[in-house]
Amino acid sequence: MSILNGPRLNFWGGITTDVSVSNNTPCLPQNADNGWPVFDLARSIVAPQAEAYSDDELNAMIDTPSAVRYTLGGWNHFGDHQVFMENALVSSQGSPGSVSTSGDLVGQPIGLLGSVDPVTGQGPFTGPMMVDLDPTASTTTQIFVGGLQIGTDDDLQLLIHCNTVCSSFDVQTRVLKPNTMDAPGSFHASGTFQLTFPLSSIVQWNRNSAGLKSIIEAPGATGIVLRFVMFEMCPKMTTAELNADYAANKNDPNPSIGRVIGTLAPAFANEPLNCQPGRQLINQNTDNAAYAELASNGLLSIDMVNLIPKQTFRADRTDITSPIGPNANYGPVSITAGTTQLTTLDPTSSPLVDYYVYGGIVDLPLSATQQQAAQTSALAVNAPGTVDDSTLQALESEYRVYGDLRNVYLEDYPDGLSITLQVRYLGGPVPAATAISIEQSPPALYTAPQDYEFLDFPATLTVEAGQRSISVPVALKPGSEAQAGFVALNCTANGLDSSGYFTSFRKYAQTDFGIPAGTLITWDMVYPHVLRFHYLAFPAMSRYVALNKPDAVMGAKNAILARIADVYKGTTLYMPVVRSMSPSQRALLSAYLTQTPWQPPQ
Amino acid sequence: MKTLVCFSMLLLGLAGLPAQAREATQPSALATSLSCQLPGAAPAAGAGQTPFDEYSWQLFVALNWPAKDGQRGSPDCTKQPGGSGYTVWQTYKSVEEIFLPNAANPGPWNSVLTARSLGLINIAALKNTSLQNHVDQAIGGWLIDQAGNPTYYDIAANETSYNYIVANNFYNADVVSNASSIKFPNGVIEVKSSWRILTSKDNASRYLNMIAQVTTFDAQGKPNGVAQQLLGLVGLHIITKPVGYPQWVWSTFEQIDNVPADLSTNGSYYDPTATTVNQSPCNWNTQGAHPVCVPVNGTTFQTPDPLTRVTAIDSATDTVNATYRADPGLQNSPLKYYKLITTQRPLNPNMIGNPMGTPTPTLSANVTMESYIQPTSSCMACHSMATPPKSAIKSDYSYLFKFAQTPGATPSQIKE
Repeated sequence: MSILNGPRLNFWGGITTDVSVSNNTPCLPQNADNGWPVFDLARSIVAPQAEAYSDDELNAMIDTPSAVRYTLGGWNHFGDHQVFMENALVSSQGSPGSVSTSGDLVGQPIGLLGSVDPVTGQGPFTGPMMVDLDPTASTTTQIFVGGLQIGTDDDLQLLIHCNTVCSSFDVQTRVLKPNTMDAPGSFHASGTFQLTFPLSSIVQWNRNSAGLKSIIEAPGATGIVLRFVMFEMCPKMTTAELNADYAANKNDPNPSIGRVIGTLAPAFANEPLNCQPGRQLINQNTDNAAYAELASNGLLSIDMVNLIPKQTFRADRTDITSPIGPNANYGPVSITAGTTQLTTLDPTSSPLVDYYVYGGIVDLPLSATQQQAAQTSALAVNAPGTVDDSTLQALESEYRVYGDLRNVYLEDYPDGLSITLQVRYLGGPVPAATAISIEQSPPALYTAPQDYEFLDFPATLTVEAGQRSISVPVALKPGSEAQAGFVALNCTANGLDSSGYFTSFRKYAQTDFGIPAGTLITWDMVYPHVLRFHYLAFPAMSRYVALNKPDAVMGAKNAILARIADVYKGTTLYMPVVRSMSPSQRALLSAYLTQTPWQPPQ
Repeated sequence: MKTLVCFSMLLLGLAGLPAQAREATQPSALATSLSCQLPGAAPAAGAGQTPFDEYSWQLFVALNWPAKDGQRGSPDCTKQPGGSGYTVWQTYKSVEEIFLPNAANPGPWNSVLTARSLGLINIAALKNTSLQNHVDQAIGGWLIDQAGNPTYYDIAANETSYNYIVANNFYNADVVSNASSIKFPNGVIEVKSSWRILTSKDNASRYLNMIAQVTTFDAQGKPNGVAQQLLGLVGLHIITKPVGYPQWVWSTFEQIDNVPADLSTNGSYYDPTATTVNQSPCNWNTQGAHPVCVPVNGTTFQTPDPLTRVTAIDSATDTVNATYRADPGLQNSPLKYYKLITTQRPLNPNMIGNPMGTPTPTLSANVTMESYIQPTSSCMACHSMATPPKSAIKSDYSYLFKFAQTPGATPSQIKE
């Protein structure tokens, strides 16, 4: 089971993500150069071209109002990376086929939590944190999460403390119009995230809640899975508002705000933790996806939350908690398996018109004949109409490759790693030997070979007939220690792009910074190599500790040392939460704070 | 050295006040909306800047109301703002009175007042130090006014805060550092004040002022004695924890001459001809794991540190300031020469997954206290880092415990 065919809690509301800096460019216009780099994001240092400028001068460049600068980079200089659900409320609950807008949990608020301090047990002190593994990319977003809560502190229904991370999937078109607006182009897109919390991470729950009992006490359940989708995202402030804010030195964050639709359900062993299971249907126009699963009781459940795009962006950019409204109306939506008609849904009626109330999931009872067709034929969703020159034609990718390992920091795998890929044909094992091709692709920036060619991996593997998974060994190339950068490995079955899956990697440079071993580290060493980048790129951190002030940094040394320790890694309290500090940089900072002789990491 | 006096013997403000200010003890003939009582409740969550700024002014007026003789923390409502004697907040317990040598129990709330003895010269250093507060050398960037004198700081807590500390023995560093949880009750108030030495060139009637013992320093910033000085209040942080605001509400006021509205004129901390402003006066020498401030080349501890206000006061706040400063009840009070800089509070104090509640506005800086970190200064964010000495346990946004004393240890100096 999963969110597709288990008992569910559905919710919708608003969401805020406050990612900072240069998503998705570290560059600013400078004189005639529109691509003048301020930062080297791969090495987390100020770019060589910018080094000679003072901190005040660089901050002035970043913060000086300029529509060009804002629209070029989508700058949110003062974001703190926190993610909040705003007025997200449970909207329906029940089992497939009997999901209702009434129930004991309907109306309860829901939100993700930050991490409890792993040392003191206090907290959480922050919210979840959104971190791009590759800040130059649009597809490597992650959210570090410390738990989940349903109900208020005074009427607590469910409390989970669990440090985990979810990654973005299906970053594709979700809103058709307008073609452009006062926002980065990502306003068209959605992002889908899935988390799994083990039952052991439940701190407290209302055992009288029928909705929770159905999930937590579901036979065989090992945890709770949460799938949520964010879309209709745009910066809270307009360009004019942002420019005025910066001109007034208010230095406010400008988070991306939008809609969230989500579903909780029981998790079971051998299911993917962080990506959706099921058969994948791709909208041929938007490239966004739906997921389907046929249960043994004859119900075909389809997660269609992203399949049909919304026609237009909300009128009021700041209103993220009013009803989301229906998706584009392409006419009657026909669902088929091969040549067999399964059903037709009226776009002006439930469950399409109010899809967000039900998590965007549709449950279809199938006859025996229809079940047979669904088991053996590709699924499809079609509609006759046209909306803004787009049509609705979604086809199942007969082969599907997927896995849980979406974003990888290679420092966490010094001995290499093995990526387990699930491989399916129409939701089942592959019927014949299937070739899995693996290719690397460079990031959007830092595309020189030395910036991304640091992995050893097989070019092809074969999944034998009747099998469902395969392991891909990945290791660092010998001699790559000094390299830093980003790369993605793209995996496809039988060469079909529609089956594809990718894992992104970040590699830090191992370096001694040219400082001889045994040296006592001074501020003049640690600031340019470690702290200057973080002071300039992530000024929100300096609201807590002024990273450009030696006394402040040394004064907060215990807090800093704790938060660059491994025990905090994987929590929302890790410093920097952006995980941009390399092991060598952390070692240099540690040597400075403790005034112990410098020993470069080996 | 402390100067012990009964507070009735040392009437605040009388020392340098001209006749006009002394007349402020006369009851106002006009009825005002000013109240000697603290506001009962904070504005509702999500309320705008104006309601919170009005709340801040209500706090400011009530806390600056003359206190009853011999009663700490109680206003004498028969008097008017600017009346004689200590203000309510000046009767709060100072950190010197709460955290006694050898971690002694500081006793009941309503003890005899002692005159203030100010030695703190860097409020930022106090927050930032990870050490217990017994340092011989200032480690932060002090602030020298345009007259060449240092700015002094003082910290005090109200009865609710004091009682919580005493009831839990948190005046003892060994106890508070081993506490598993620190959670102040609603109603606590902490006040941090900044003071400058008033010279013959200053109009003392424009300041809430007092005579106090202050530490003196040599040209390198090392303490070398004490002296009695007439001090004028230049900054006041008021932080309180009203019901519904676990993240507290943060108000900060300044004397209007710190950085004048007319930037062509001189201010107490402003020099219209200065080309370098808001810069730390320190070069940093690392001694052990301890940065030591040495005056920047060519400067001394007497070299003024010119400031500007990096973030302008919000227009809504300015409107509230104008209303209160024009209030008839304040016209004979130095309070009319003060202005609210901002009220920082959590916009969503109870949002699931948002324990900081979204500090609003993002920045909050008093030029006399966050002089060199104004572009990133946030009261709430900074205080969210507060812990007791040698502990990783959060101390509920309060840095008071930096002053906690260890039994048997050499008495700490509340000096930096």
